[in-house]
Amino acid sequence: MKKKKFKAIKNEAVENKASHKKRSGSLKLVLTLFLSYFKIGLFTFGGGYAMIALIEREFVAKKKWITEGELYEIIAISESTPGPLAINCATFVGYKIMKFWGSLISTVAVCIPSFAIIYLISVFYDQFMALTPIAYAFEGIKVGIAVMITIAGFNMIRKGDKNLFSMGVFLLTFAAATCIDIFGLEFSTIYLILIGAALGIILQIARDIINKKRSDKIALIRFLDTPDFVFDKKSKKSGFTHSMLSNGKGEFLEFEPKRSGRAR
Amino acid sequence: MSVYLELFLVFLKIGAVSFGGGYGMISLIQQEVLSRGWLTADELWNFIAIAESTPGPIAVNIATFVGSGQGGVLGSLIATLGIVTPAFIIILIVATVFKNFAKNKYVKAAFEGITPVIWGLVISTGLLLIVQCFYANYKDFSVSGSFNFHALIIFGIVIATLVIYRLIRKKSMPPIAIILVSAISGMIYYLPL
Repeated sequence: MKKKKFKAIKNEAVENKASHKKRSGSLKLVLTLFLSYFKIGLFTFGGGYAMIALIEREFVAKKKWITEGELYEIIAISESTPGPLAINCATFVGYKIMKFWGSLISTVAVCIPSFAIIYLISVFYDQFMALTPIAYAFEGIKVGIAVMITIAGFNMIRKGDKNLFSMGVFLLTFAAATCIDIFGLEFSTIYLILIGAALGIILQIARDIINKKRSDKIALIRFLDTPDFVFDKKSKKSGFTHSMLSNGKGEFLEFEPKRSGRAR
Repeated sequence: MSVYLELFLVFLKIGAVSFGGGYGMISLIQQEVLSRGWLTADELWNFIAIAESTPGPIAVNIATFVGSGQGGVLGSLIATLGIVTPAFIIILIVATVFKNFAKNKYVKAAFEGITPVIWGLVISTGLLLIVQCFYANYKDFSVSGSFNFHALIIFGIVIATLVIYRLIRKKSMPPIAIILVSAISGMIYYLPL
């Protein structure tokens, strides 16, 4: 308990420090942000998720500009918005640190290393590929990439939510995408993505309607099934009528124990 | 339409609908770039290999590369700008206005639909690529394509390495190591088969 409190106070102090830094907005901060993201951009091999580890080390552990919780929030948002994860993360973290200029600086900084490297490669690409061993190496790499992409796809499914809906959409998309490629159909995969999004939203609306109907039904049953207290003059018995408890012939269940009647 | 404008718009479009990381957008990039004749299928796959073994997001790398081929430095700058802009603007809007964007019920629902689409796209791309390695002209049904035995051997080596790595290190092999292994096994093309 004490530890937690201490941690909270510490976090607050860190936040204060961060906000103080935000306010000062000095050239030094701009430079630090730029260099940090430049470094991250330079060492991000293997996609966005590799970058998250780097961001965590740089901004959460070392500089304490953002908290762990904020980082997870950023990742969730980056995953639910289009664009490369690395760019999304850079823009968002930059915004947290220095608003608009922070996001601009970090996005530019994270792009510069890969831009420069790829540009250089593109200039020498043709000469490079003309070398026989290089060309052969790339024939091999083609197979490696194909395997990697396939494995990445199956890993996505393994980690993902598997249910009737998702597996159905997956199989349909797989069939559609394969046909589009093999038969050279003019159908952009953008439409497949948009259709997927629409199906997801329709599913949610259907769920909402079903849930609403169900909750209405439950409310109705509760209302109708409120037991009524009845007194039968003929048999001089009293009890509750209850649609769920009665035998369906309109007879009611006895309320008073028989013994009390006999006693009288 | 000027080349620069086209570059910008095409990559803007790709950037605006690319969900699910680099592999998610490969099928779209493939469609857009190949249909315009900006790259041949071979060049694109070579380049994906390069993008995998250099730092930075794959999509940004491909934009830079294609842009440079079509319009030099300016072209690569414009293409990179195109792919980055949607992400930048959308995140800025989310960060400033919709702070609870990711928690919204309908956003989550849309992703429930988009995620399996991405699975389908990635696996279809991957499997078709494997087929393409074995039968270069698999789309042409009129000619019976010749089977590429070199590719089969490389495929075997790569799979065996992956399995062995997994058994020994208990984790999946980093992409750059897979590329290295497959590059070295590419040398079997020196052997006549």
